Amino acid sequence: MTRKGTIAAKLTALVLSAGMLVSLAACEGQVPKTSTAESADRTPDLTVAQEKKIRTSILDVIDAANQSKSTDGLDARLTGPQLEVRVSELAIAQATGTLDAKAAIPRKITQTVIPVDDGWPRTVFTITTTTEDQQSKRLLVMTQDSARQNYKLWGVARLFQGAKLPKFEVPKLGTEMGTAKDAKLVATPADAVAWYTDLLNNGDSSKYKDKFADDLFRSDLQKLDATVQQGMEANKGTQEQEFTVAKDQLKIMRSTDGGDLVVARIDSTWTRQAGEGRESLPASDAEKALFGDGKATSTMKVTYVNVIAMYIPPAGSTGAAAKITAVGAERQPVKVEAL
Amino acid sequence: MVVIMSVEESKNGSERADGAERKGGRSPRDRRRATIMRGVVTPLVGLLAVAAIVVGVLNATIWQPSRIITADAKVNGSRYIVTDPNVLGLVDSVVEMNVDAGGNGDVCIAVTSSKDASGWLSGSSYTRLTGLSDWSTLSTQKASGGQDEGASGDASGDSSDADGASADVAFKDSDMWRSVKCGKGEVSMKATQATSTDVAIVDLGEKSGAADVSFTWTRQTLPDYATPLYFVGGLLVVLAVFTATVFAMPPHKRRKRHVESAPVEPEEEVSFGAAVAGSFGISPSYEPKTKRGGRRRRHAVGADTGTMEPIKVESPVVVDPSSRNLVADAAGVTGAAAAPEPAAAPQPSVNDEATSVISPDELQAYFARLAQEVGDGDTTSVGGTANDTNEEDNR
Repeated sequence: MTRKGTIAAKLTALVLSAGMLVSLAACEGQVPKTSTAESADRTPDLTVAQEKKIRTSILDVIDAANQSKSTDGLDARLTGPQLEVRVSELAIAQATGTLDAKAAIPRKITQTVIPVDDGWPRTVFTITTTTEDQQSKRLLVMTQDSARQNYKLWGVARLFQGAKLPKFEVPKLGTEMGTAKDAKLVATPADAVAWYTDLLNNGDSSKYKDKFADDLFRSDLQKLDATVQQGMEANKGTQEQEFTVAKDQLKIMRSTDGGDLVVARIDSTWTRQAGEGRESLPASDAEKALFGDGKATSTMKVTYVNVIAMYIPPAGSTGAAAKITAVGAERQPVKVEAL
Repeated sequence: MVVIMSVEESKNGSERADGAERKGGRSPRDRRRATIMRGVVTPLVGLLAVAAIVVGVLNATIWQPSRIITADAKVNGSRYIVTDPNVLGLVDSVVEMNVDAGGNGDVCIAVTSSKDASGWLSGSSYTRLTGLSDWSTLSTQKASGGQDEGASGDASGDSSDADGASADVAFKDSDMWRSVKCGKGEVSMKATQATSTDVAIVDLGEKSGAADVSFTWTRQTLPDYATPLYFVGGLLVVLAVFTATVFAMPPHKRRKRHVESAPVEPEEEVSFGAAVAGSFGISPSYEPKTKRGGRRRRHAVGADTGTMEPIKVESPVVVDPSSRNLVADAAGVTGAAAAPEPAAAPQPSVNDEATSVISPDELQAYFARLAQEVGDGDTTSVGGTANDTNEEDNR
C-alpha cells in the first residue's frame, strides 16, 4: 500500500509540476492596458522648443525677404497687420535702398506666452530682447488659425520704453487666451479698443480720456498732428486723421494678475488737403517712397496700419492701476494715394 | 529532481525503520497516519517545492520573459493612423515605430499632443491604435473626425489672410508636431512618451490605403516570476518538513506538551502575595535599588518583585489575600478618604535609618495603605511611591 501510495504521489506531483511549468513558460506577463482616465489638466499647446522653432522659421522668412527686398513667400509665415506692415516696409526699402531700422526683430527673447487653449485660432505672444542698436523690445504676436495651418506672425508692437507688462504663467504651464468679451476687467477688450480709437479720433475731448493712462503713441501722434496742423493752417489747408477699429482684429492673453494683454489692429487714414491750389505732398520719407512718382494733387490720402498693445487691468483696480495702459505700438503707412 | 526523489525515498525508508522500532507503543491508526504523511504527502509537497524552485530558476534564466516586445497591426482604408494617449508608453517609455506602406509615396510619423492630433484629423477618417490586444498585436479601431475643433479656425479666421494664404500646410511642415519624420514608402522613428497625452500620428499619403504598423518596445524592467516562485518553493519545503515530522505524529502526542506546560498560571497569584511580603521584608535592601537609578514607576515596582523571590521561598507564611483584605477593609474605613496623604506622610519615616524597627501599628497602617493601593488601582498609589523615591534620589 505504501509503495502504491508513493507511486501515485509521484505521478500526481509530476503531472502537477508539468502543468505548472507549461502555464508559466508561455507567460510574458499581463498585457498592459491603456489607462483611459485622461488627465483633465490642460497642457500648453507648444513647448518652448517648438515656439523657438516656429519663431526661427518666421524670422528666416522675414530675413530672406529683407535680403531680396521681395515680398514673395512672405505670406507663408506672415499674416494680418504684420503682413501689410512688412510689405510696406519692403516697398519703402526697395525705393530707398535701406530697410527701416524699426523693422528689425531680434532673435533672442525675454519671454514667451504659450496658450493652453484646445481649439483654434491660437495665439502666442513672445517678447524679444532689445535690438542690437538698443531699440525697444518687440512684442511678437503669432497666430495659428486652424490645425492644418502653421503659426504666422500676425503683429509686432514695439514696446514703449519703460512700459510695464503684466506677468504671465511660465510656458511650461501655459496661459489662457482671452476673448474680446472678457469680463471682470475694467473694460472688455473690444470696448477698450473702441474707446482707445475714440481717444485717438477725439483727443483730449474724448469721454474715455480718464480711462486711459498717457502713452507715447498718443503723445507722438499729437505732436505730429500739431506740427502738420500748423503747416496746413499756414497755407489754408486742412488735415484729418481718422481711426477705425478693425473688426475682430485683436489677440488677447490673460495675465496672472487677472488682467488682459490685448494687441489690436486699428486702421487709420490721414487725409491732407492743401489750400490755395497747391499740391499735397507726402509728409515723410516713407510716404514719399510709397507714393513713388505718382502725380500729386491737392489732396493726399495716406492709409496707416496701427497695432496697439494695451494692458487692461482687472475689475476692482483703483486709482492709476485701474487705467488701461498702452504698452506698445506700431504704425506704418501702407498706402499713399493722391485723390 | 530524480535525485531529490531518491532522497525522499531513503527518508521514507528510514522513517519506516523508525516506525518499526517504536511499533510497540503505537496503534495501527497512528502508523497509517505516519505512513501517509511521510510516504504520500511529504514527497508530494517536496516535489512541488522542487518544481517551484526549478521553474523559478528557469524563469530567471532561459524562460525569461522576452525583453523586446514587437506588436503590429495591418491598417487599411484610411489615410491617417493615430495612437490613443498612453499607447506609446504602454510597455516602455521608449518606443520604436515602423510604418511600411509599400510604394513610393511619402509616409510620415509625428509625435504630438492628442489635442493637436485631433485638431489635424478633424474632418477626415482615420484609424486609431487603441493598445495591445495581445503581446504581438496592436488593436485598431476605425474613426472619423467630426467637424469639432480646427474647422472653426477657418470660420472665425482673419478676413485679411483669406487671399490664398490660408492654404493648408503639408503634414510634415506642420508646427504642431514635436518631432516628425518622413520616408518613401516606409518610415521608422524612435519616440519617447514625455507626457501621457502624447500620441503618434501617421500620414500614409493621399494614395496609400494599406500599411503595416509595428511598435517595438525594449522593456527596461521585466516581470519577475522567479522571486514569488522561490518564495512558494520555500514555503513548500517548510511544509514538507512539517508533514514529515509534526503532522506525522499522533495528535495526542503533540498535545501532551501543552498539558504539561499548562499550570504556569497560578504563579502569578503567588507573586502578588510575594509582592506584599517582599515590600514588607526587604525594605533595607530597597534603598540601593532605587539609588541605582530607576526613576520610572515600572522600575520601582519591578525592583520590589526582583527581591521578592528569595523571601517567598524562606517564608511560606504568606499572608492570605482574603484575610489581608479584611484587615485592609477595616483600616480602609478610617483612612480611605485620606489614603493618598498617608502614603506621602509615613514614607519618610520608612526610609529613615531608624525604620529597621517597625512597630505593629505602622505595619498595619502600611498594609492598609497597600490594600488601598491595590483596590484603587495601581496608578495613583504607585505613582505616589514612585514620586517619593524620586524625592529620595534627589536628596
